[in-house]
Amino acid sequence: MTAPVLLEDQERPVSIWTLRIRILAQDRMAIFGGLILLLMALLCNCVEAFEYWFGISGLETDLLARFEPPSLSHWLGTDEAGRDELMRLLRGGRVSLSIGLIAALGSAFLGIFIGACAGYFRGKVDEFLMRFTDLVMSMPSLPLLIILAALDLTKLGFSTDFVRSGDAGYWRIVFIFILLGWTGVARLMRASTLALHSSDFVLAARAQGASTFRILSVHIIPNAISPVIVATTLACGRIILVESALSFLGVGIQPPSTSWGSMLNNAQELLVSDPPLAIYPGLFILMTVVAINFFGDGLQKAFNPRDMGR
Amino acid sequence: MTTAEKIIDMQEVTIQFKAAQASSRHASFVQAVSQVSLSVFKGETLALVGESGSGKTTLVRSILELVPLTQGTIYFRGQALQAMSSAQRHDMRRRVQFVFQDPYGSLNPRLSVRDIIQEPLLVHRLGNQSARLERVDLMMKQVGLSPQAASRYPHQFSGGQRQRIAIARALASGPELIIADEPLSALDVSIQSQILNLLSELKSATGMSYLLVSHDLNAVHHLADRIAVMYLGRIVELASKTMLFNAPRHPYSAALIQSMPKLGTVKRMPGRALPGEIPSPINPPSGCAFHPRCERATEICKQITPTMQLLDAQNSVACHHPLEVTCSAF
Amino acid sequence: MLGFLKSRILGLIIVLFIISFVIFALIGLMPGDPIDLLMSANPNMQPEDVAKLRAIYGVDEPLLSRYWSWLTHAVQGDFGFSRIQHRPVLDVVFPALGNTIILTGTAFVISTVIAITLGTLAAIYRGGWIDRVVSLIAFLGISVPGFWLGLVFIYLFAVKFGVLPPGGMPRSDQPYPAFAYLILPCLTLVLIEIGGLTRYARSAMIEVLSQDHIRTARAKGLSQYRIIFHHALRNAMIPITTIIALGFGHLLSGATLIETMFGWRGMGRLIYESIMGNDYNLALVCLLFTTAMVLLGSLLADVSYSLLDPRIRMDGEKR
Repeated sequence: MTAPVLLEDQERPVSIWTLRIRILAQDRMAIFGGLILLLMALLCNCVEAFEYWFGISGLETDLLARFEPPSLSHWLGTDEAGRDELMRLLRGGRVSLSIGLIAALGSAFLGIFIGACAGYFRGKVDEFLMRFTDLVMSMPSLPLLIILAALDLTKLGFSTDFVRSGDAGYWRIVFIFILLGWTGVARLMRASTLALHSSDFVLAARAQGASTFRILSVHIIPNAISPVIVATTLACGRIILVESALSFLGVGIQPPSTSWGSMLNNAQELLVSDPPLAIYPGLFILMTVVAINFFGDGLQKAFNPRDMGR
Repeated sequence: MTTAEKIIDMQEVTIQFKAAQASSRHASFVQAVSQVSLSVFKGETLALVGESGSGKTTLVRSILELVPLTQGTIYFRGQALQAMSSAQRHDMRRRVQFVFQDPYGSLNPRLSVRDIIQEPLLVHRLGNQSARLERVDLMMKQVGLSPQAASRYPHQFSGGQRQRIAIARALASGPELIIADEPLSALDVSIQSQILNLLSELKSATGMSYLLVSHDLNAVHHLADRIAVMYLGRIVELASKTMLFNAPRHPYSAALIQSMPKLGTVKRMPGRALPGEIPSPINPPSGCAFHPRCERATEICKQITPTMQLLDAQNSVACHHPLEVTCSAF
Repeated sequence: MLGFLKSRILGLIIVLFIISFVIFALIGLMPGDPIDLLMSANPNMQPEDVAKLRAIYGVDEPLLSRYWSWLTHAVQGDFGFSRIQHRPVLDVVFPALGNTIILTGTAFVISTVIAITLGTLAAIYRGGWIDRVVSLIAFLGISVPGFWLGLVFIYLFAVKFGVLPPGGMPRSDQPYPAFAYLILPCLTLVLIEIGGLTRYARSAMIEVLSQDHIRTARAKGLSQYRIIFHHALRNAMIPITTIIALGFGHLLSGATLIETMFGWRGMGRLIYESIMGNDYNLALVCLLFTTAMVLLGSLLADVSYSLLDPRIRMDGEKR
C-alpha cells in the first residue's frame, strides 16, 4: 500500500461559497449597499415600535395639522392628511421592499424551474419553453402590467369584498410581477443547464443511476445558480422601480395601503402645496435601488467564474 | 478461461450519430463504432487502445447507456441490457463504475470530497449515515488520501489527488467492474506513474475486473491482461499482453508498438512510422479502414472489410494480410 | 439571408396574433361593459343598431366571436373607432405617433451620442477619475425612478424658477416657445436611458480595447486618436449597432410614463389613456403597433449584426 498522501493539516475546508463571500467582503461599495439595505429593512419593520415610542402616527389623519414643516415631533413634517411623513415613508418602504423581494424570489423560482427543464430535457420541451419565453418577453411590459393591475377581478369570479381588500391588492401586484418577470432567470438557467449537461460530473451522476431530481437538485442547480442570484438581486431593484411607477399611475398599491410610489400619486399637485413631500418618496426609492445595485454589482464581481476552480 | 464468467459481453455493437452540419440536404452520420464484439471476463484487466477518434470512449460509455446503441446487444452477466428491468439496471450501475479522464471536470465543485465519494452509496441506498462515513474514510485510505481531508473541496486538491478521489468514488459501492476512460491522460507525467501504481495495487488487492481505455501503451503494458486494439470504430486485434507486445499481428498494432518510447522488456519491431492521419469517422474508407495508411494493402483490402479471425483461444485479428509471427519473437 | 428573414417575419406575425388575442381577452376583463363601449365608440349608431348589436353579439358573447369579428375587420384595414375620441382609430394613432417620434427620437439621438462618448472615454481612461464619474452617473441613471426625476425637474424649472412649462403640448396662449415644451420630457428621458446605454457602451469598448490587435497598434506607436477611431470603433460597431437597432424599436413604443406625466400627446400616453378609458380598439392598435416596432427593431439588430460580423454571414458570401 502506498504511503498515504498527507495534506497540510492547517488547510481547512473552503467551499466555493466561502471563497466568494471573502471576495465580496472586500468590495466596499457592495458592503455599503448591503448595510444600507439592512438598515432600511430594519427601520421599515419597526414602524409600529417607533410610533408607539414617539407617540406619532403614520396612519391617523389629523386635518388640523396638515403640511406641517419638519419639527422635533415630526422629523419630516406631516403630509396632506396630517400624518407623520417619516412614519408613512417607513410603512411605504415595508410594502415596496417586500414586494420587490417576494416578487423577485417568486420569479426566480419559476424561472429556475422552467429554465432547468428546458436545458435538461432539451428537444421539443426546450423548443416549446423557449418559444413561450420569447413570446412573453416580446409583450410590452408596462402596458401589460397596467392592464393586469387594473383588471376587474370580479369578472373572473372573485367576490367584491375580496377584491377590495388591501391584501388582494398587494398579492395581485406580486403575482403579476412574477407572471411577467421569470423570463430573464429562465434564460440564464437554461444556458447554464445546457453547459453543465455535458460536464463529466453530471455524466458521472447519470452513470451512477442517480434520479433526474437528484441530478438537477444536487449537481446542476447549485452549479448554475450564481448568475441567477445576481439577476434576482438586481431584479429586486427593478421591481421596486416599476411598482412605484404603477402606483404613481394609480393602478398599483391602493389606499389605505401605502407604497413609496403611491405616496407620489398626487405628487404633481403636491409640488405646488408642499414640494418636499413629492421629493422624499422618490429619494428613498433612489437610495434603496442604488444600494441594491451596489450590492448586486458586488455579487456579480464576486461570482465571476473566472476565479473559480482551476 | 473459457469457463470464466463474462461480466460484459458486447455483440456486434454499432453506434452511429447524426453529424452536426450546416446544410441539411444530406444527413451525414458519424460511424463511431462498427460491429464490435468484445467481452470482459471476471477478474481480468482488458485494455482498449487506439488513437483519439477510434471510438473507444463511445464504446465504453455505451455500456452504462450514456450513449445509445444503434445496433447490437450488450450483456451484463449474461443478461441483455435492453431486457433489464429498471431495478436490474440500477443494480448494474452499482456493480459497474466509471472513472473519467478529466479529474477537474468529473468532480462536482460544490460538493465536499466526502459527499462526492458517498454519492454511489446514497444513490444505491447502501448503509446508514455512520456506515457511509466509515466507508468514505476507508476508501480514502485505500487510494492514499488522508481521511481528514474529507471535508475539503475539489479545488483544494491537485490533479493527481482529484483522480484519486474519483477512484475512491468508483470503489465505494464495491463494484465488480471499473471502467477507466483514459485515467492518466490529463495528469502530469510524474503523477501518472503514481496513479498507475495505485491502480495496479488495487487490482491485486481486490480482484476486480478492469476495462481500461488508454492510448498510453506503457500503462497498458503495466496493467492489462488482454488488449483490444481499435481503429476507426472497429476492433482490429485482440491479443494477450505478451502476444501483442512481442508479436503484434495487425500492421496498425505493430505501428503503435513501434512508436512507443523504449520499454525495458519489450523488443522493438522493425518498420517505419505510420504515415497520414486517422480518417474522419463521417466518411470512413471502403473495405479495411486502415488500407490508406497500410503498406501491406492490396486490392482486396480496398474492397472487403476484414472480420476477426481467431488465431488461437486468446488472440484474434481482423486483417487480410496479418503480420507473420517469427519464432525469435518469444 | 432571405430564408432567415422569411421565418423571422412569419414568427413576428404569429406573435402579433397571439398578443392581440391575449390583450383583447384581458381588456375585456377591465371594468366596464363591452357592448356599452362598442356603442359609445361609434357616433353614428342609432338605438335600433344597438338592439341589433346586442342580438348579434349578445351581452355575454363569447370571447372568441368578439375577437374574430375584430380580427376580420382588422385585416381589412378597419381598426374600428376610438371610444374616447369618437374618431377612427387610425386617425388618432398617426398624429400621436408623430409626437412620440419627436420626443423619443430626440431623446434617443442625444442619449446614444452621449452614451457612446462617455462610454468610450470611460473605457480609454479606465480606472481613472473620468471612469469613476461616468460609472457613477450611469449607476444613478439606472437606479432613479424616472417619473420622480421628471417631478424634480418640473419642480425646479416650472414651479420654482418658472422658466419652462410644466407639461403639455405647444400652445399659443402661453409665453413659452414651442421647443420649450419638449425640453423637460426629453431631458428626463435622456437621463433615464443614458445609464444603461453608457454602461453597455463602456463594457463593449473595454472589451474591444483589450483585444490583441489594439495592443499591437499601440505597440506600433499609433496615436491614440488613430487607434480609437480607425481600429477600435470598427470592432465596436457591432455592439453599438445593436444598441441603435434595439433603441430604434423602443423609439415608437414611446415612453408611456414620461408622456403621461408631462401630458405629451404621444403613443405612450395614448396607450395609458386607452387602457384606463376602456377604449378597446385604440388600445389594441397602439399595443400591437408598438410590439411590432420592438420586434422589428430586434430583427434589424440581428440583421445588422450579421452584416457587420463577417464571421456570421447568413447568405454565405465572402466579404
